[in-house]
Amino acid sequence: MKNGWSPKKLQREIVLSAVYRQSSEERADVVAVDPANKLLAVYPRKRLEAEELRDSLLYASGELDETIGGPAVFPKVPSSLVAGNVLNNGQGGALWEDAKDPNDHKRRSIYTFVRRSLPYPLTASFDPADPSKPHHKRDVSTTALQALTLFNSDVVFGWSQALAGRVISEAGANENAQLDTLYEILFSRKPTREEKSALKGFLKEQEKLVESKAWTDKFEVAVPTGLKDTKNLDPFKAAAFVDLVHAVANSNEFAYRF
Amino acid sequence: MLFTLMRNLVVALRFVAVVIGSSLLISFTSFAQEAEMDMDLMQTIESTNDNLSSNIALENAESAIADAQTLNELFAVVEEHYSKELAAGKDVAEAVDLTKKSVKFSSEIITFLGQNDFESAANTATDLARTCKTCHNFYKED
Amino acid sequence: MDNKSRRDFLKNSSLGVGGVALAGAIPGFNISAASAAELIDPLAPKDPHFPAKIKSVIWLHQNGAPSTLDLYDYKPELVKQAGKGVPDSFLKGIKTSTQGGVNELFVSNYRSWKQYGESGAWFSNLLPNLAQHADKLTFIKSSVTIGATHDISILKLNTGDLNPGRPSLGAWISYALGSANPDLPPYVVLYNGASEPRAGSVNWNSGFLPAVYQGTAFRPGDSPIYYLDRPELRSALQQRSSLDLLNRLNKLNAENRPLDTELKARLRSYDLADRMQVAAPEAVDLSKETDATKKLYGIDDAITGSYGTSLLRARRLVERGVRFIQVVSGAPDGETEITSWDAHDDLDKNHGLMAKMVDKPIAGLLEDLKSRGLLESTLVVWTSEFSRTPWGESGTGRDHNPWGYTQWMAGGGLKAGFTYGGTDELGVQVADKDTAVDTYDLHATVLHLLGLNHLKTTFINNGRSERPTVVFGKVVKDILA
Repeated sequence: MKNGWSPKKLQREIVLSAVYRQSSEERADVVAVDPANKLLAVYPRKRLEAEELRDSLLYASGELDETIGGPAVFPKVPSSLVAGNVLNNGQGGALWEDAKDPNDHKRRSIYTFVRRSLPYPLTASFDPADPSKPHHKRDVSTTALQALTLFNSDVVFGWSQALAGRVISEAGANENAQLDTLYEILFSRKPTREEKSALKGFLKEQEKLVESKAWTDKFEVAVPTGLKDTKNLDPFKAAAFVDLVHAVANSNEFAYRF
Repeated sequence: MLFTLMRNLVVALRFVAVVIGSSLLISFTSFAQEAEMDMDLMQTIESTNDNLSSNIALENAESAIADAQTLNELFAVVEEHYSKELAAGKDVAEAVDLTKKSVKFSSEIITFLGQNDFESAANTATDLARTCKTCHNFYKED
Repeated sequence: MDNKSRRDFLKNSSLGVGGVALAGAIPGFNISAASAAELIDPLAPKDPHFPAKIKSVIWLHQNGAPSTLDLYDYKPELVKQAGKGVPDSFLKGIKTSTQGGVNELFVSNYRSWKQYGESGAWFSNLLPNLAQHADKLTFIKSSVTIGATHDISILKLNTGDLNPGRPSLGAWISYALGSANPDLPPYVVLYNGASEPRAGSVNWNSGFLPAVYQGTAFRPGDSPIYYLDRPELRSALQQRSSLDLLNRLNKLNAENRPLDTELKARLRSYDLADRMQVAAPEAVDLSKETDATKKLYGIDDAITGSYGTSLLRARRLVERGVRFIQVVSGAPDGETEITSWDAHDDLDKNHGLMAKMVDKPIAGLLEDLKSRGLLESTLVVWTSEFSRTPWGESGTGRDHNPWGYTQWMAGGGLKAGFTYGGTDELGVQVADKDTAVDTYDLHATVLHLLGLNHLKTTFINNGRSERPTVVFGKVVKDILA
């Protein structure tokens, strides 16, 4: 306030503060004396909030539409939800009708329509602010429903496909370069040697799994999207890579700010 | 105990300032005589009652006694109000009974708390809250 | 914005749910009693305050407010006085708001009454199946609440308050007892009909309790929870190995943070999700139920089918250790005109359909629970946001009545075939005000049967100790066995 309510100066003060710049590395001595880290001896790691998580996934995938302003949008929700609510807004219309403009599905979460009686399912389990009550603090719960949402949602999986496409576009065909790029996009670092061996081992095995699926009567796989050139794409390898990207994007390191 | 008194004084003073809007020098006895029954008084009672039940649950004897004491004094104001109305021929016999009960319950709570008997205090505080509710069913205007 | 609020914010989020649960655990659940398991898993099972009579509750919310004067509360005087005005003495102390004023007393021409069982409980001809179970029921014929709009009174029925923000009863129970089955949520909401129940999720919300305790709505159909099915283009094997990779990466990541319980919790949540993916559809899958059982619940019939399905699912959830199952009545499949019990006009048509929808399924549920030996450890609660007036509205309907009506319970720890309280001769108000049972008292009694003292089931919110019964609530001791 002294600085004329300047948010920039405020941000500067926050990010330059000693606490903000502290490492979040766990220290046994600190945990022993201050298990709740009340005194902020280390930087407190923090789970991304509902909207942050969705926007971060969208951003990483390169899909985020950063258009500013305009009316609220109705991003895609599970089809069963739409079906169940068709005649339900009291005026003969649907409570939630997916936006016709595909870009509306990728807008920042702040533009998602908030309907009290029908919370947006993708973020609903991540403790968003409840629009029907006064609010001062969000809970941070850790539930199986959250895991189901991030791991099973076709929408989130679609973003992983897009992210896989982005990585291949940026890194080219080299596997090592792809893994490095993926980690740089998601975590601003390269994978450790151990991680890399786990990832490579997975790719090899997953490729075989996908290939075995080809022998069933219905063969369809999820491949990276957004690629300009798909001629040289090996569908088995590509699908395995999408699965890898999806697992990495689901990992703790992405959901938390350390 | 000093804390209790002070807290009471604060509640009472705030109350006096709001309800009567007169000098802060008014003492306890005179405020009980001069206070008027109105929404502010009822809201003070309601929030004090909420605090009371919380303080009993937290086994916070001192604050709970202070709350019960405040309630005891405020219910005396309410009782006097209805007694006057009854004398003036209004149909408020039930209200007089219920406020008498409330005065009694709030003194009992003070006694229980003095003995650190939080369970009985909690039960009586529930009775007290229910008495408020019964009375409001009859007299609260929308 | 200053350092303090940022600090508070970070402090509060740093421990995650474990921290929140711990902070709120005083004094109902002693801070020293919070085990390491509890810190990692807020749903870890916890001991009740005293031995419980029951393990699970099936909360049958009759949405829209049935007229219990047409179901259980037989009033010969009302029959006699039908068509006449309501004497003023009956209206003392209540505020009516019926459109067009308090009309003449109304009795349906189609109504008839009979006593059933050794207890001799009265049932109308609307509930021929349930009547066969008269001796299993414990009636509370002196129920009261605050009458407002449906939405607001439904909120009070479930949370005890007229404003959103307080936890629902089921959330308090999840918080106090945790989950008895780690593969399923402890608090499940079921409903029938095409749309989610009126007023929505605020009625199974966790309010100021951590969100993990809120009810999980199981939608009708094979896939009860959103995102239960893996992405369309992935095989089960692909999914499995991807989860293994995720697990491996999370473990590598947690190696540097051996003391961080929340990261472990998140790692575990994916295992749990994996198991829930199997457990939840299995819990609601009726294909292994015999035809006789399905018939018992009326699943073979168009009118009773969808509600019967909900109740059979409820029994399966009870068997799987779910603590609180909130079943909200909807409407028969395909029915668009009548969607709840809210019969402001043409009560015969409305209640004729609604009673038919619930009568056989509820009777079936009671019989099924009994024959499987589950009724002693389960509590079935038949409840509604309020009931309906003895006087008519729009000719043949009834208006809202929060001043005196019937609810019932059946199950462990109660006097079966017993009636508590009663209404006046016309069924306007509770006859003896000292026997009035408000929503808080119902909540206190349900908690008591679960082994919980409502005064000691507390959570600190904004520095204030809160309990499920707000500042009210008394266990209805007279109905306890």
